[in-house]
Amino acid sequence: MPQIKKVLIANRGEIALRIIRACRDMGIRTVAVYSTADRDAMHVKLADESVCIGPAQSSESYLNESAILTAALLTNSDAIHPGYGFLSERADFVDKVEQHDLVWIGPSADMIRKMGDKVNAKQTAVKCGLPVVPGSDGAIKNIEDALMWADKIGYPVMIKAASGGGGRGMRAVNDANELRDAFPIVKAESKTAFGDDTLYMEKLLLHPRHIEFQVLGDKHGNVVIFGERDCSLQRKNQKVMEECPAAVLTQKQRDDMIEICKAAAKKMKYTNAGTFEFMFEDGKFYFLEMNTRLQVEHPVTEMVYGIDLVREQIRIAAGEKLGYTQSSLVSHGHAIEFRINAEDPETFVPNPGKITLYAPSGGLGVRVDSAVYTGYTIPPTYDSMIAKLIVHAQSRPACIMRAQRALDEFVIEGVKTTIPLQKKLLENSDVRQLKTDNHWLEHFLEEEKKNQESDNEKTKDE
Amino acid sequence: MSSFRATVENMSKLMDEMGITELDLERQLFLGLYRKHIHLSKQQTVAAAPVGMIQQQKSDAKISGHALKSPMVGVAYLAPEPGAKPFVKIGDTVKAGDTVALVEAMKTFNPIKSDIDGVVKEILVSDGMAVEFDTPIIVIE
Repeated sequence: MPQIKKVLIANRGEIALRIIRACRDMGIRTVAVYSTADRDAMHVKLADESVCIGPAQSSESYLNESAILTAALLTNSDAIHPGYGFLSERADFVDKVEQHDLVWIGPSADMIRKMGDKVNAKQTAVKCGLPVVPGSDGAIKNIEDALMWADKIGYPVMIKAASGGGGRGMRAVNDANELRDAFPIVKAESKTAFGDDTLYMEKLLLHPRHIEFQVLGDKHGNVVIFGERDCSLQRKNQKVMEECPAAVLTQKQRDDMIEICKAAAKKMKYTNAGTFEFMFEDGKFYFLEMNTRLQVEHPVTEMVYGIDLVREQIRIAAGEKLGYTQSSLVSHGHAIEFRINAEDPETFVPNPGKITLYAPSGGLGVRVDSAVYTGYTIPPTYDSMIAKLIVHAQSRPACIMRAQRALDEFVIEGVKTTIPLQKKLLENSDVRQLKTDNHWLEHFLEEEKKNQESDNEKTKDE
Repeated sequence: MSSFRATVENMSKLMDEMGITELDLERQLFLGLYRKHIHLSKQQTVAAAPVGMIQQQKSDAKISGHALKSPMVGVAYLAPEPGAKPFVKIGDTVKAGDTVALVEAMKTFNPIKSDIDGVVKEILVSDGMAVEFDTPIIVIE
């Protein structure tokens, strides 16, 4: 069984700090790696050792596999923790890490490979008993075939080009007439756009919520599933606010899904931390994808379950057994995470620069995961997320009250942040009453913009 | 700072008296935001950096002249192979394009070439020393 005495953290920002802290709590030494843009970064200051691995550009530093491996070997590190993003889901890198006798703190290369490919992931999900979005089994040959599948699946449906992606080569249809019109158009479009006119069909979800389940599996076949996170407030597929648990679920829906996820993770022989992501609509779950890494929003689960997920990742990587079962996971209260980005809260234009004052909120049930400080200059090169505010309380209403207090207290001067948006969201009755879905925030922001513009018009007139 | 120095000196005296050879000291600044382990091992005080430690970079401010810096994390070599004559020594004249050192990363040797004509003023690393990205290796004037 490998012993982990020194961990190299192949990341930056708040997640690098998060991992350094977990290591320190376990008496493990840490090595930070950094680019020339991050010489003054907190993760460099907090780690026991640090190695400059390249210039500001990520491709030459935080994504530079050879530099990171060299740094790990030169510092005699035992293991590498990738955090999220950067190299965390690169299966080939995992292979290289293991070839150099280093421990990878994360799921196996095979699992990352399998779940990283959309088609493969869906097939695996079906095989392991996870519910998926109903669709045609493979390609649709002709319009008769399309009408048959649409009847079987139920309107509305989405026709998609097999080679499409990123929102291109797809069209929603509400009935048979629309399908007759749209089918040849999409077919022709995908022929011109992708050189391939293979089409398939999927049920169209109109108002799905994003609900996900946290998995932990050890190398001895033990698996536990943590209660779910609701991450429906999103902008351009970026989560803005995350909660644990998802208050829209009944206890039965939750328990059933935990059982289903547990069986699937066992069947996959999943090891380390991961997340099953689902769309949830009208009481039903549909598998979206699996994230084979630690997630940004993991702290809400930690707050509610009182378990340090990074510590568990390290223990699992070292070959230890989980040492507890599903029944010993007990949830307490409610937690919400707010992502605070250095962005204009209305236009979302990133706003790097010097933080002239940083005074995070505190008090009971308030946790701030951040890597900035007063006087720190946010480089323009990386992600704009500068802090995560995580608030925990006995119930959702109490959590919202506490969150308002914590957001009011939070002071960041010198750069614009998304705190004003977060405050506005907490005051919104849809958010409070859970009348939201994955598209809600985009609509809300459009409305806000319109109101703003009409206000401006009015002031002009006056 | 000065009080920390005093602490180290006092501890060192105490260690002499008590025959202790190793001690981990921890300094806390900025309310614990900054932490550095200072490893004092009396028998190794002047010895080379322990295995697994990357040499601290010499800050740019202290360098006068044109520094050739490491393009990557790796191990610096001053000669083409063990025991061979070093590429350059202090006082040598170099031309732009001359190889002055090697940096090995992942078993690949990458030549460090001078980008100017000049005279070798300072060699900042020793043969086989681990270097970071941007570590100054040789100063040309």
